[in-house]
Amino acid sequence: MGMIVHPPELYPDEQINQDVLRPVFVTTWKWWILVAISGGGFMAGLATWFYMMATGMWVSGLHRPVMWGLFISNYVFWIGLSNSGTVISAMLRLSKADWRRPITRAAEAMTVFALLIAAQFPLIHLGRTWLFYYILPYVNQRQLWNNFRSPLVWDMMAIMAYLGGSILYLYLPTVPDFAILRDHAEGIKKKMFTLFALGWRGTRREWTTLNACILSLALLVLPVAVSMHTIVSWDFGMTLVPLWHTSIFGPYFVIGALYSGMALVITIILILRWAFGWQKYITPFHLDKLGKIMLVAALVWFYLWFNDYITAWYGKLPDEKIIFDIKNAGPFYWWQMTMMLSNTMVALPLLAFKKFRTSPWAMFILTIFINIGMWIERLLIVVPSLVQKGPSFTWTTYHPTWVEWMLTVYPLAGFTVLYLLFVKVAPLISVWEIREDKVACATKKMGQAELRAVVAE
Amino acid sequence: MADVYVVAAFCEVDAAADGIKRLLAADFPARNIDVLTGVPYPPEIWGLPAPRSNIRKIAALFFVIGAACGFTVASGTGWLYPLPTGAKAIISLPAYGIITYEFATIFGVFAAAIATLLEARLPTMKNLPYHPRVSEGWPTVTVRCADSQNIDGAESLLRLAGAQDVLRHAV
Amino acid sequence: MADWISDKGLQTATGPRAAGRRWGLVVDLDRCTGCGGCVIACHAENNLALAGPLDTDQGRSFDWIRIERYWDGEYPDLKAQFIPIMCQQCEAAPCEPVCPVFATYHTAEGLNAMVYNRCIGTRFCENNDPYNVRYFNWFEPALNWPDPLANQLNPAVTVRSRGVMEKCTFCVQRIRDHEELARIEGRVMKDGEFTTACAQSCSAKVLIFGDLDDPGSEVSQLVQSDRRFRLFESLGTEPVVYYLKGGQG
Repeated sequence: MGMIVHPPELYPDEQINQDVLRPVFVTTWKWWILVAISGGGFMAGLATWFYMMATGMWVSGLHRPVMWGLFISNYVFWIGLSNSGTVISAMLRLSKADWRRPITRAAEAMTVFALLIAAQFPLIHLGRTWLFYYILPYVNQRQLWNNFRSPLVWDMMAIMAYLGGSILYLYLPTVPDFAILRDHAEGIKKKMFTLFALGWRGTRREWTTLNACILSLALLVLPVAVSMHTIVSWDFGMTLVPLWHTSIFGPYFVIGALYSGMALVITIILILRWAFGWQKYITPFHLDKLGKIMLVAALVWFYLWFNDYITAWYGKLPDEKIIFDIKNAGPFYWWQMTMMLSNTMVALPLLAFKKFRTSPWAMFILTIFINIGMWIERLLIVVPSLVQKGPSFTWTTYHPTWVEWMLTVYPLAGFTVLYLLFVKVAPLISVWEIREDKVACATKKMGQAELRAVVAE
Repeated sequence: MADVYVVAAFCEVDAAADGIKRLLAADFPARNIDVLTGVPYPPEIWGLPAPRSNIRKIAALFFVIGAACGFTVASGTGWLYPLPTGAKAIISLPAYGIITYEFATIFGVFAAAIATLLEARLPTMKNLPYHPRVSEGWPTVTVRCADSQNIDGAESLLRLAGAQDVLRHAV
Repeated sequence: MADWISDKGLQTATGPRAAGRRWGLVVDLDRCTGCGGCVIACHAENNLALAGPLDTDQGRSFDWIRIERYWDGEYPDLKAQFIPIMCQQCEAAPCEPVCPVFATYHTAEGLNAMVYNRCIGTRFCENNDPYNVRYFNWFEPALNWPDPLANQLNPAVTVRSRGVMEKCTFCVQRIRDHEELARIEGRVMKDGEFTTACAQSCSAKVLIFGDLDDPGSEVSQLVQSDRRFRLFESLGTEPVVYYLKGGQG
């Protein structure tokens, strides 16, 4: 107790402006190299997608009855990654956690970009991608509508709600920062930021309205995030497929998304910390807090996974036992073990130690391994249930082709390139919010210690 | 003559609040005074009537409207063109409940955003008073004045309170 | 209205329907020799694309009806069991409601219809199909008819394009033909006046097609048999394909 680890150590405003705005204005060769690499990967993935559209789905490893493979597990994985940004930001804003301020922007941006990437997979995996708009409820002269009874339509609606909410939740709180950029920029950038800033001046009315808006958005977006991951789970849960048809999938997907999303938030803020020298803003204190949230997610995730596991193991329903066996003793055994190793056996004990949680390198490596484990988890949900469903005459195996592997790299490259471009458009630490922290917080001398005091509204 | 804003940038919040106090004491109407800040200060510190926001109510209202629209779209399109599928009722309440909720959220979210822009009067192309130091954290008091005597009076009051830089901004 | 929001919906399982017919198929497994004649007939009638050995091995063939072979007993006392499996045209079809664009729905005469034009290829229907009887067009079908074969395509049946699902239709083109014929001749359709391609070609008379709602039809008589069962009945999909098994043979 007593040590104030949490920033900002009362920097002057000019210092904050300089530290946080620098990446927007100063572009290094490293940035260009990263953009070239990830942009190349993105273009290659896009080319692969068009190649598949032009030739046909046979270039993938999909076949009857494995109709969904890597495309859909990538989809679930990226939807999951998109969870935590807006969710963590909204939770911390609503609970008025002051330490949220340096990480909210980076996390919200992560949600938007991961979601933009994830939303492509339902399109990638369509047999006739060019007719994707049939799924939208649009007015047409044939009076044909989409089927609101289909989980895929629920999914489409949920993605639209969450994406819309997340984009607004990212953009509107950035408007005051665009005003700061507008005041500091020159030339074409000044024009761009003037446009983005919408003429923001910082009047009392503007601030009051913005704060009310942020709170309303947080309240609306938080449950929609839960609904979106639940509905993704219902794409599986609503079917009659053994080990898909389970009611635990809703909460299990939500918590899995929180787990992998938290891991990505930590990975990203650590990269930002190193890349831009933000050690004073993103501190071990934040890693500790985020690590604790991730620990809770990991525990609940394992708890729900075990519920699912033991129900199938004990029940031994014939159809379910077939799938259960190929997961736990058959061809998917090593995948399952890798997942359990990285997500539970290693992650849980390590995250329990504060020393581990506050170590940037250790957390960086662990969070990457957690996400590899979570990717495997999605694969294990989608594929095993399909390879041996239905009459045993049609049972099969599944071997993804290079097309599917390319389109597994594609989202990573696409996400990276979007994020890199965003670095040049907006400060990834919310300038006005950390200044607000400075206004609201002070140190108070009490006895022999200087403690942190917060001005409450 | 056109109205003129006196724009006074302070480097201290307390000084800016003091400037407003002096202006109010000198019978400048509160509605003509505003503060531009780089940070959302608690509104009561300025001694001016705090602006109120209806965003939450508007968002809640449109949430309800969205819910009604969602249910109408889901069940109405099913009813207009009834296609039975797999023994699911044409009006399948559990499924349409989901659509109802998602529509409600989409309406609520966009209503909150649009209402925010309307309420904050953004985006604006108008020539409004501003001081470039606002984004460096200087609280800036603006007073709208109608005649030159008032302008000089306001400027001297604000300088007395400790304004670092005072501009005049003609509308 | 009460029907519409009730659990069972508008036009399901039992009771009279607009068309007054409910097509069904009886498969007498005790007679099946596994000759594969039905498969060939179906290919010829319904313009099924040919897949070749490699793609068939990879699970990309088109067999709206397929003969599954299972081995009974222990070597050397082995016995082959054949079971022709086609779309079961379930009354409570799990594949239908999951389609986001209504590319598959239930018609008034109990058929599980597939609308190729509307299909966008989410392949969700095949995932939720417990019988694995839906087939996806992985290839451009035009490439799959070596030259003279393209000339034998049935003009009454759509050639499906790449990226859409397809499946057994109960030879809906024949149903429509005879409906029209009966209307022109001003009579009602008679039981057995036409049948599906698979049933027509079955030399052992394994497959019998007809109207389950017509108490005098052959299928209605056959489904009374105590040899009858339906595939995966416990799933509650209510198939209208009835299998008969349990006799000597």
